[in-house]
Amino acid sequence: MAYDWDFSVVLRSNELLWKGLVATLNLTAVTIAIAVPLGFILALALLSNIRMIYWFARAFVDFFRTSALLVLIIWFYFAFPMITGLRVGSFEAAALALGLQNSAYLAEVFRAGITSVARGQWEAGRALGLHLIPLFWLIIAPQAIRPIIPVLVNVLSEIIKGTSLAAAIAYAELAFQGSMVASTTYRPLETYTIVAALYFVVIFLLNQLASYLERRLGRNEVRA
Amino acid sequence: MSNFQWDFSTIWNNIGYLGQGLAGTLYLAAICLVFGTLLGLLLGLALSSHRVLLRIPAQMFVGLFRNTPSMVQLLWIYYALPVLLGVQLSPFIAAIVAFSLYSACYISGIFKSGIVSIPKGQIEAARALALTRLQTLRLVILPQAVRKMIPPFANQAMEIIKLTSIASIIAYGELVLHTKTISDQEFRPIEAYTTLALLFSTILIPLAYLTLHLEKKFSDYRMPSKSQKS
Repeated sequence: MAYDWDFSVVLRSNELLWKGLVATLNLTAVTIAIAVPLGFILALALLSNIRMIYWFARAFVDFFRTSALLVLIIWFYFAFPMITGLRVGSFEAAALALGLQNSAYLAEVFRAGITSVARGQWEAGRALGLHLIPLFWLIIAPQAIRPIIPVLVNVLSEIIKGTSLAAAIAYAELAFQGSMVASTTYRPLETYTIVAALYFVVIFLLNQLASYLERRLGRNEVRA
Repeated sequence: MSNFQWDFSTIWNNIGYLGQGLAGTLYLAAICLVFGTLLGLLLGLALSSHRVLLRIPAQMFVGLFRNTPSMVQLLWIYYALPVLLGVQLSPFIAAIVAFSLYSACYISGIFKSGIVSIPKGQIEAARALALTRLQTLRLVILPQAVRKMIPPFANQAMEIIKLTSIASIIAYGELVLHTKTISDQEFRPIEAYTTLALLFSTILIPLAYLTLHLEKKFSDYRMPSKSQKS
């Protein structure tokens, strides 16, 4: 079957697609800003000796890790504003859902990174008379971060993939803009091919970076 | 709105419809798991093959699917592929194709690392016993590789269940779509979507713990289990 590919119609709407890509990256950035600090706090909570804190973090991480992202996004968009009375737009709902779920993933990554540092390092730090906080930042964290970095980049590319689900609540990111362009140009084949290609370029580059970092920083034992 | 009155009765009245959605989710997930596994095995073999003509196309295929969102793949298969084929796919078929291919790429990685983890000596020994290639795979490699593959495989099964939720955007009747319908009809989004989230958790959390258990049981079965702490 001969199909005449015609990208010109779609390329005339390139502005919409670029806006979509920017919105995708924007949502990704906000997700990271939520997920990294929260993930770190959760990781510390998972390592805590205090039972209450541990179990709270465990329940939180398990719940968000095992939830379907789309379900979370829809819940935060439709149910969350009604419960809290807050005004939550599609961007905020998607950012919250993505941020919380990825904080749960990152909590396990950070926890594994921290526990990968040999016990003796803690003991040596103690023997040098360091208090817990300087001991953590000066001795443990610099060693823990090495195996974590490539995983972080991987999580980043997973987040970008995840942002495409925000299209379901009409947040104007790349996939959503793609569906708009497809329906206005009647060229779904060309439009979705371009959209897929745009995602591919961004995510592929990130994954290449991740495997480069993995080689440079040594084989890591931490997994998402 | 702190004094919101929770009222699950409307959800309870639609329990049959919700159950249909759940069945739709599990049915789609089961089919995708089967196709994903079969295709994943073929891809995994191609990936660990020495023949460039097999390995390179497999690598490209996996690279393509791992580096694009499954949402976009589904949209492409549902809206764009029919233009090339000249046949409109049903949402169900489109979802099966999209999610089977997507999971096959991840499952191929599980097979590949399972196969690679078998020491070369095992394959040489099988050769020395005059086993054919297929026999070597079936009798020597897979039985050993399967042990290591079970935990990541269980994990993948969970991912597929989560993945099926995306099929709601092309109006395949699974749990999310049915919940949406109930929520729209009854004007009870809070109860409807909370039930939805809890339903997914009640399926997936036990599966997650099963995976963890399998991981403890299988992952490093050569190491003494004393030092294990999760």
